[in-house]
Amino acid sequence: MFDAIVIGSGMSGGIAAKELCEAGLKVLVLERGNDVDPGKDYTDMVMPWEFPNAMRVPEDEVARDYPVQSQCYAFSEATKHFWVKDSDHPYTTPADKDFTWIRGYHTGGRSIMWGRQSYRLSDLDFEANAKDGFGVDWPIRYADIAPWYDKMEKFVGVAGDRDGLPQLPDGENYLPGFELNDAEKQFKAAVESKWSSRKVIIGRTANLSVAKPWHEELGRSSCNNRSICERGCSFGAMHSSLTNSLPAARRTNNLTLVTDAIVHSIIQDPKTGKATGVRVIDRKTKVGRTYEARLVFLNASAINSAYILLNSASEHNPNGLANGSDQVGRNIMDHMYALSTAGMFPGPKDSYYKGRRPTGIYIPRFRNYAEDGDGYVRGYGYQGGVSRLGSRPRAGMPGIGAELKEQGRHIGPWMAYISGFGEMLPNPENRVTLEKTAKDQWGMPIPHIECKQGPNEAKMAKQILADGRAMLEAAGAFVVNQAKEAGPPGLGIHEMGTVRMGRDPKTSVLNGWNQAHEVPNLFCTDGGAMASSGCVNPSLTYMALTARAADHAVKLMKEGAI
Amino acid sequence: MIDEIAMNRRALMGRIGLLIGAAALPPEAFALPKGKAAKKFLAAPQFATLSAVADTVIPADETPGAVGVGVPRLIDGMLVTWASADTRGQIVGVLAAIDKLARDADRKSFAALSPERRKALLVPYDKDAMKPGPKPTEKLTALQAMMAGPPVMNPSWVKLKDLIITLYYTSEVAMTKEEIYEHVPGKWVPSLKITPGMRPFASGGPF
Repeated sequence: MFDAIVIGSGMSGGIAAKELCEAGLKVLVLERGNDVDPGKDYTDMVMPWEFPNAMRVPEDEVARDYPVQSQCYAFSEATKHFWVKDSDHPYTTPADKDFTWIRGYHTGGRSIMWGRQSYRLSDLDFEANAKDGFGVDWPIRYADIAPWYDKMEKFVGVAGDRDGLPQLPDGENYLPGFELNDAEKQFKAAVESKWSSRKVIIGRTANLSVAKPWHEELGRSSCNNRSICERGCSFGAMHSSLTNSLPAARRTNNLTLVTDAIVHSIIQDPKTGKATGVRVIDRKTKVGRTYEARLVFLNASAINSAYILLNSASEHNPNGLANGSDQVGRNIMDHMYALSTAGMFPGPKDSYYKGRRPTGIYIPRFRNYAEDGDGYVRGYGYQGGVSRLGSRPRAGMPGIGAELKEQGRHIGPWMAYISGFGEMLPNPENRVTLEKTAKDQWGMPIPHIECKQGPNEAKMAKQILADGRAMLEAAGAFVVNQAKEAGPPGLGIHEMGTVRMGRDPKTSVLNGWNQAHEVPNLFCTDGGAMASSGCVNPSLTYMALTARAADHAVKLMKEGAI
Repeated sequence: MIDEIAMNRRALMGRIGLLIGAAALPPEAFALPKGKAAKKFLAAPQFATLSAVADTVIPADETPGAVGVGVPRLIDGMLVTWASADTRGQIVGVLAAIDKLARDADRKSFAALSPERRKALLVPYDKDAMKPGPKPTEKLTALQAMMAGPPVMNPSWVKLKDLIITLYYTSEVAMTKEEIYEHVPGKWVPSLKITPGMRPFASGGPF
């Protein structure tokens, strides 16, 4: 019998483990995939020319095993082992509703390959549902979570500037922000002089620009500006659950990590209403077993957390556990992405930079804030950068021989690119359900995902592209490439909303402490909990919600309330 | 008849010249990549065509060219370890088409032509290949479509040319001689004045 079980060892599960272990609880973390050994599994010390096949995954293997995962920019021969085989982990979608579900099943989950951008939500986000009526009101406001953002930013190490923008609150504990290059400074000046409501700032990122003693205690050191973070960082300079949260949990001697344990369902005692344990299926032997605990944290990632609740249906809970509201699995949101604009930029001719900075520029939200949106609610931000275009010759351009080789020797021109990330509204019809008959190799029902962007998203996407073009052109860039529409949901890799927080048990699954309305000792603190998506990268919010919920759960346990 | 050994010899001659001027570099810096695919797919005449094509796309000058860094051997290996049957077919088809170009024009194999003559044939072939082509039948995501650029008339040639360029510029020689590669740059320097003759920095990842 453990004090607590944490389902999932990734971004939020690692924090749950750390916080609960540090509070003195004996914690079992269940990870469905294999363990990862940084010494063996990281490829960040392999030189580019040492990879077979020029870092490309064999074409037949991509088609057979990775048709979805290979769509992620970070998928390559160097990282292949960090992505699930789609062939092993099937899901279904309607033919006209693509959903690109990106997954990493191993210790640390997707926190090994994540994009590291770390921003806070603000009250602009926490009040949005109540103001415009989409979704249900968040049961918390910014002041409730702000101290937990502070705590998490200090622990993970977020490098960023304090920009003083109400829609993008600053952290108290930022490490020094990475500096803009000369062309980015020029771009910033041009955009900000034309629009006083728009700001160009350095992207806030979970890379240790300067490691602090509490980072070094966990074996982490400062960033070396390699920008191959997705291969795993042997310097521990980027935050991951594997090399930061779990080691912090482990040093308390309160952590037990069991890998290859696929959670089947959560068991509820119908008399007390409490969760008593978790059923798992061994990934290798396919044999089932049960673990018991006084407290359960569900951190399997948004779709899988909803899946586990749905699969926990029983005589008493025919629609799944904690699902009296019928909201479990609904309201999938993912940020709109791939709304990119790129252009040649008249940057300083004799200026260059050295090193591969692990972040880019960020343009915080200005629509439906300081500037009106064109017929939609909510807003968007941009990520991007201004960099020297790779000078390597490109196969798709005419040219061979000495001329081609000579071209590769010159430092390329400046290119500016910005890509919008747009908020998606909660829509109950966007949902994950369980296939009635189709099962995977472990006998588990296959998830069925139905998710589509709606008219609000379509209108927003138009303005994301128009504003992107306008800002590049205002800064003197010549636009050479622009997307036409957002990619289908999923590949933003910010899926969330399926186990939402809310004030009313009739319309939400979790209360203001991420505690299931119907199961008092069950907490869900991954992306599932999100009542709205905001437009910023969400991992930091998941971590802050987790630390806050863990603190509350421990208090309730001490009081004997759960 | 030109083959990889002959071209390696020429590349080696270039390297010796280079070594005189660059004594600080260890000889290993010029070694062929180790431990890569050894299996072969192409028949000897096809391999000779590939070597001649690679040499024409990226010839040796003061640095080794595509043949000098082993690109033909690596492509031959990748046809076994990486390529789908469709890609193999495309590459073989392009090599045959280029060889036919030479036989039709000069009644010799492409590999038997002088470097100048090879280039004279390949430049218009390359140019024609880039003309706008029909839209691809396979469905691309928005991002893939943006990255792929406009469809061209001869995508098979672009595929082979891309392999030659990619394998050349991910070779140790190119990344350290044609470009500057630091695996662990250390500090981020946001502003650096460009000096005459300065080479571009190479990247080892998607960014």
